[in-house]
Amino acid sequence: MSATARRPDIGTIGLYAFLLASAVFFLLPIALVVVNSLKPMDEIRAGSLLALPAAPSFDAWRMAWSEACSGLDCNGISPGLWNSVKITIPAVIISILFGALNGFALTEWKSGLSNATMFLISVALFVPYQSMIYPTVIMLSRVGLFGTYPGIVAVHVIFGLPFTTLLFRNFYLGIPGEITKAARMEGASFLRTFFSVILPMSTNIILVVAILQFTGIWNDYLLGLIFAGNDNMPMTVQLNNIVSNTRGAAILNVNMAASLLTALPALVVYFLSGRFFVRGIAAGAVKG
Amino acid sequence: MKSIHLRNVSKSYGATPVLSGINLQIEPGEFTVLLGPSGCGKSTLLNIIAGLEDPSGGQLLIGDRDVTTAEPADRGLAMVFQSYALFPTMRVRDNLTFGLRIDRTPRAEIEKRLKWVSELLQIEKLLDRKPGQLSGGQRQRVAIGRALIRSTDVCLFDEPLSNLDAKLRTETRVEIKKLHRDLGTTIVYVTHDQVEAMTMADRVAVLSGGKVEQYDTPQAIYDKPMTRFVAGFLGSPSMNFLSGTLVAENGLRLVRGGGDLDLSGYEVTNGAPAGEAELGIRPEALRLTAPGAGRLRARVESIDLMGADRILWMSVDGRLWSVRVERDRACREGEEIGLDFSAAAASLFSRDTGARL
Repeated sequence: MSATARRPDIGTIGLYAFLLASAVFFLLPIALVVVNSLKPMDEIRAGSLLALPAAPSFDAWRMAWSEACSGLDCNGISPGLWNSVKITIPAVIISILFGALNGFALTEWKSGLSNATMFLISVALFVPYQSMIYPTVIMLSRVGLFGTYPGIVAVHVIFGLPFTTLLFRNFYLGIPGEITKAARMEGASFLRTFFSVILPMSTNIILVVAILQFTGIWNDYLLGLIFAGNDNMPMTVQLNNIVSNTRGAAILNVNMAASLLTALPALVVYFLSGRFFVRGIAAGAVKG
Repeated sequence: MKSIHLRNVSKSYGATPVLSGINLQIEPGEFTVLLGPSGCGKSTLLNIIAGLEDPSGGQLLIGDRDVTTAEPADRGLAMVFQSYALFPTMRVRDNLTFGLRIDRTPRAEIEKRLKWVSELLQIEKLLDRKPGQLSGGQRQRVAIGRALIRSTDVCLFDEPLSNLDAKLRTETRVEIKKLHRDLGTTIVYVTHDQVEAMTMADRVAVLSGGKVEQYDTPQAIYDKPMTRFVAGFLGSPSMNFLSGTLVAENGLRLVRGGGDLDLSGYEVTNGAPAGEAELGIRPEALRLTAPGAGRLRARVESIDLMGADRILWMSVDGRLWSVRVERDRACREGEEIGLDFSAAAASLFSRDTGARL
């Protein structure tokens, strides 16, 4: 290693300065929210938004969790947590399972129609889903699923499938064709090959897709608002109801605490799985 | 053990023909090698036998049964792939028994066969490892084991040795041959390596451009190649060629720029040879003589030491020829020398059709 390589040049310094500035830019709002959620309202009104709390307290968090009002109910945001969990988890699992199955089928199906199908699926990814909402509302109400729990799960699964199918298909293109041929020679059916041979090889891509789907569905607001029905409102919708509650002055600290509570599961998933996420993306890239 | 009959099998991808008019009759227990350069259709042919690809035309029989459209699993055969194609997430044990478990073989029987095959291939100690923890040679053994454990009548090999290093390749070659002798399975083996074909096969089918050029024992293919392609493809260094016009009056002669070559004593295969032709002589069929004494003049260009013998590269009629000589034979580069050969050991091919004359 030469001496010049060790001394940081102006380009490197600039690069780090830019990265640092970006980090501050993205972290500042979060820091703001965290700091103010720990202050009582008087302190927020009196002082600067950026000042640290004089006596940090979780009162606002408790309020947000169980006492904040949305409309006439004053149960906080906690009922929404369970709703979000019971919507997100089945939707993630089902969209992964069918995405993987679709992706594998499209890889194995050697025909021009297979590529045409894949093309249509990719196009579907670029259609803004706002344009599909009204037809979806009509279709779901015809089969009696509009505003029900199975309805909202189905909507998330269907809107997620083009994406999961594409990711799995690209991953499976990288698996040598001889492996599925070998399974076929051994007498394994399509489904047996998928479940015994292919799915166990897919852990990396499953993690990647699971993280993307989890955060996507957890953070969804619009679909939850329209399709979930009053009994299954996800956390994001309840958060909005609390924050936009127009009676009285805005309770900033409670609103901030509620925002953090809503964002927390997605953040935790990212922090815990970031390493696998990078690895999975890399594995997919190299093999593809 | 079952026979395999291919009747007029053809295959094309869209308008591109890959195989045309393939007729092979593989006898029960025979070791057949499909040999040819890359792109000749040999792997496609093997996939058609396996059932992994459907032929565009023709008929395939295994034993007496027409299996042209049967599923791979219903054909009673096993296959060893070039990349081994082991299931990476399964232990060796589970890789080996995968097919048996699908067939719902009783557990005691599975254990018995697992014991038999792992002892046969000496992989008992590897049974609980994953394929990723095995060396190339060990993976190869497991792949062969997975094919043998089901005791099928026919076993297919798709270039199984091409990913092994030279030493291991020789060892495994001997081992596969021994397995064939002990088990008597009908084997179809695809390779582009002529050494594998020569040493292992009972019969070799040489393929080129989607056609069978010659289907015979290795020795017959080497000694009496039926086409110009087969003559040039087999042998290392390859056969030496010389072109000229064949004249049949006063005995067979090859007329060329450097003077007539007397070929009396050549065993004619087809009709009355005449016209533009190519003469082929193997490097070991040539004898060195004093300059001017033999039928051909040559100049030594370079010398390759091979250990057991030597290859002399020399120019004959402006072409580079190779001659195999014993290692004690004195000679130096640049030397003018004579060459002679027995016409009976030579081959003649038509310039037009490439067929043996």
